[in-house]
Amino acid sequence: MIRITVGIRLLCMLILLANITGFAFAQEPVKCGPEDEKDKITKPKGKQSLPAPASGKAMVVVMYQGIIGKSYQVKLSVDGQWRAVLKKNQYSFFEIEPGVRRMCWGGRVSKRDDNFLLLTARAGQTYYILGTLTKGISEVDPAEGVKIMKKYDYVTFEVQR
Amino acid sequence: MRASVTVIFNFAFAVGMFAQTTPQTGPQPQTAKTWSNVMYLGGAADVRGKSLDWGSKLTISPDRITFQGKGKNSVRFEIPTVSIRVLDYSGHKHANDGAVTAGLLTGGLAGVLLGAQAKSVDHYAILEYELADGTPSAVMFRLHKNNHQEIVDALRAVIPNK
Repeated sequence: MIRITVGIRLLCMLILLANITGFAFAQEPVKCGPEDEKDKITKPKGKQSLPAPASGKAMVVVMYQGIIGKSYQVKLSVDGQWRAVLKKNQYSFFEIEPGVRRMCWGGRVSKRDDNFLLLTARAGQTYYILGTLTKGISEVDPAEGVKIMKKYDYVTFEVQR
Repeated sequence: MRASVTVIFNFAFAVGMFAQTTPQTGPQPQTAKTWSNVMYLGGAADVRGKSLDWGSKLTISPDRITFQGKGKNSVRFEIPTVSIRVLDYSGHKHANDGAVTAGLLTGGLAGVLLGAQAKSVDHYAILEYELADGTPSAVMFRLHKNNHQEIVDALRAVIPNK
């Protein structure tokens, strides 16, 4: 009986050790937004036109190309902060500072390396990011981005406290 | 008993941390060398798209780094090594989904539990550099388990010491 107890304790220690050394090694290449943040999507009434970025800023348009079936929330973070929350066939836009921006595609998506994207943003430019459930996020050609955006619904989001 | 377990625990933890932070050094490459099994995850200024095909190629020479994606509409860019400021390498350890599935198929619940303990590591390198006009830029690569150490060593060898 004592041997079994010692064995179980040793096993627990080994698992704990493996996990702790794992955490020491684990490091996301791009920081996503806070995991515990709950967000509510809101859909403004009427058509929303895409403005030009303010002076000294760049604009990001993010679109979520969904597939058939139930739609779950997906999110795009920039430099560790969630900046857009979408369901399928929705889009949103926001301004960013020029320079290197680190993006992460999160929420109800599988964890894959194509959920990360680096973007060197230039002031005055608009960047179109297309996200999917299975292929992560990627920047698309502006002409293609505008075409997709026109078919989708504009949404914003608010953080639920 | 408790004291000895704590000592073993601390030693193992320290070894793990040391192994992670010890700088790797390699010989200065005199000629260009090319690797396949590299993915590009964005960042190059004015270059649109990513390259998630393992068939893409990364060439490191003393004066420049060249990435050539595979397939049509493939990504291609060059970075002069003199413009590189920082190399940020990280290993991202995560659960191995394939091992969990294999465990479920072969060993049921016990197999799932064992499979959940199996981890695999993704290797990422971010190169921060300056464009010709002085603005900052960066590119991110995913490296393969079989080439990440060689590539990181080669990059460290060509990056100018600041």
